Amino acid sequence: MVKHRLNLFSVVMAVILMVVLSGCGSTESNANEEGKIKVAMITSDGGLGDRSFNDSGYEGLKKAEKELGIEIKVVEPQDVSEGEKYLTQLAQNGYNLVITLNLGHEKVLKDIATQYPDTQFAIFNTEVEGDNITSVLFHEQEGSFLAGALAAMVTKDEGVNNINGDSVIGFVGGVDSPGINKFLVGYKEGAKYIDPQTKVIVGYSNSFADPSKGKEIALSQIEQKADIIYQVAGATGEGVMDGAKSKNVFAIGVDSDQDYIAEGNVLTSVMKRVDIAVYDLSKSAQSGKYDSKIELGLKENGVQLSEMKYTKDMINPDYLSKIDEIKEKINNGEIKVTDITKN
Amino acid sequence: MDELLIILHSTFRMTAPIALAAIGGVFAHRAGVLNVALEGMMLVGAFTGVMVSYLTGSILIAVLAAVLSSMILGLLFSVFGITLKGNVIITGLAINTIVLGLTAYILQVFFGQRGVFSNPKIIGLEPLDIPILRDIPILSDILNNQTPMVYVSLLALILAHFVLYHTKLGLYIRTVGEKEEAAYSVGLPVNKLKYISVLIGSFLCGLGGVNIALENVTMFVEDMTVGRGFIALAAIFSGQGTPIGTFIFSFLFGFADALQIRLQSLNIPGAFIQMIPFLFIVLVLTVVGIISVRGRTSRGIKNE
Repeated sequence: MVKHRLNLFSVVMAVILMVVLSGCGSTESNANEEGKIKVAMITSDGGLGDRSFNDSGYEGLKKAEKELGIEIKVVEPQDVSEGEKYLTQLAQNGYNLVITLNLGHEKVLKDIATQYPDTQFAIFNTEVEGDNITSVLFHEQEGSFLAGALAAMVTKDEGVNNINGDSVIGFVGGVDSPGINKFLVGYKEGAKYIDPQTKVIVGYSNSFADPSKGKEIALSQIEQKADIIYQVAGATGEGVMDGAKSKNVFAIGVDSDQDYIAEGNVLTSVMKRVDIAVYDLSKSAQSGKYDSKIELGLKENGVQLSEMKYTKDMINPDYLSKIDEIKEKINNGEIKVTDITKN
Repeated sequence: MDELLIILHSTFRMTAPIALAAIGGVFAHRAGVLNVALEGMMLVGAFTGVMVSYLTGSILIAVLAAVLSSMILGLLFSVFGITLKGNVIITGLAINTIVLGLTAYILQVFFGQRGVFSNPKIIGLEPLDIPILRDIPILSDILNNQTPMVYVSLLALILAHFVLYHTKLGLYIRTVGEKEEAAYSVGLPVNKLKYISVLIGSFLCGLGGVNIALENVTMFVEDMTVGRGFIALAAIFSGQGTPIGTFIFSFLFGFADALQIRLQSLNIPGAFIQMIPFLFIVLVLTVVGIISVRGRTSRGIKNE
């Protein structure tokens, strides 16, 4: 009998313990959910691992997690059409700030933002109007202008790598669209600023994930005397850099510092500091005060050339001071770089 | 003239992966199995090739592993599509989807990489400088200094033609495809023949994957086959299931692409030039269609 009671007692105690413990757990996690600022980021085509745009954004987000103590989430849609689903879900799940890196989401974003007025949204590379939407725009054309100017100078330097004396440089884009051609126009203008005779060969791969085609296009351009090729083509661009390496000429990287991918064969990279933008947005999420539009150009250090770790010593130092000079002129408005996405 | 030679040289490079997959796919096609998993089989070959090359540093083991992984998929496809009589299209698409997800997953979990995997430790296959070919004037400009799989694709063409039309195995395979019941009634091991056909295809797809990831470039990118498996499928159908016809169409696809790349650097509007491959194919198919229809009526046979 005593034994029996003891058993019953232990069972009752166990039940009580469980209730108390689970109660503890739930209150704790509730507090967590209420107290912490939650920021979500939706990646653009290609997702994480592009060693470029999306990865750069993720860097900024991770930094924000560590330094600001916010809760973060990254969502990688397979397809641009899934944007609506994820934007809605994230807003429903109480994220304070939902950032999308995909400009393809601009149409759906407008509707969803009005449905969830308590959530702040941010979109990159395009402008969307709305009380709770922040548009982040980069002046990629300015960074590309510098790259074009540098390329136009270096392309005449026989003796550096396999550079020939001809003023021919190349460009490989992912698709023929305003978003990509924005880079091209800046690049061309920069090259012509240095030497109006510079010829720019342009190619499109029609895919952001086809390195062998990227390489083929690069080889074809090199065959036609191009010795510096600027790639704006995601993973296809990896093939462009590979092609530049195989012929020992130069490629120019894009979005993040890609100089290390083919050391000594990536002249420079036009970096878009998506990380800074994402970090700043997360900061605004903490204060709760958002701008409706953020524009990042050379002046704001939102767009810049890489430090050229491997190539700095290969080229004439005068070029770099010339680049600094041009940068100054762009910043004070003396040089105007065309932005084809604006009329 | 030089220009044309350069384009042709590049054409063979661009043709190789398509031709390998397509010639491989011809066997399954002739055995009456629609293999839409060519894409996935190539992708798994590319992935395994790169990973094994990175891990072992041996290109030989890498190529073997690539072929093996692709053949395992072929086996999987056959078990579900042939033995268990599942719908082959759904099975094939499932395999493509699995490979796409699995390669990305393994890359992330075991190698800590996303999207792109490139490393100096990955050893690729270099172009070959072939002694006798080197001295033949025009041919050397087109065919010399190509990567090994380009030559393998030409070899595959000859072998496939030989096997299909000059061996018992080829005859059996064609019989199975033409009239399965008849083949069964004379005691042919129908399922076994189908298995063999699919596996020959996956073997060559594995080599196609090697071409994409270890020859043209030495890296792996998620979904780097970008539809070449389906273009191969189109080449099989356009070539009416013959190895030679299939190769010719693979070559045309490759040529159109190489031409398109070359023409882009002229100042013609880009969108127009990128249309060329597709325009070209429609044109060729139309001409082929017209010729074959005329051939039929004038000889007065095959009038349905």
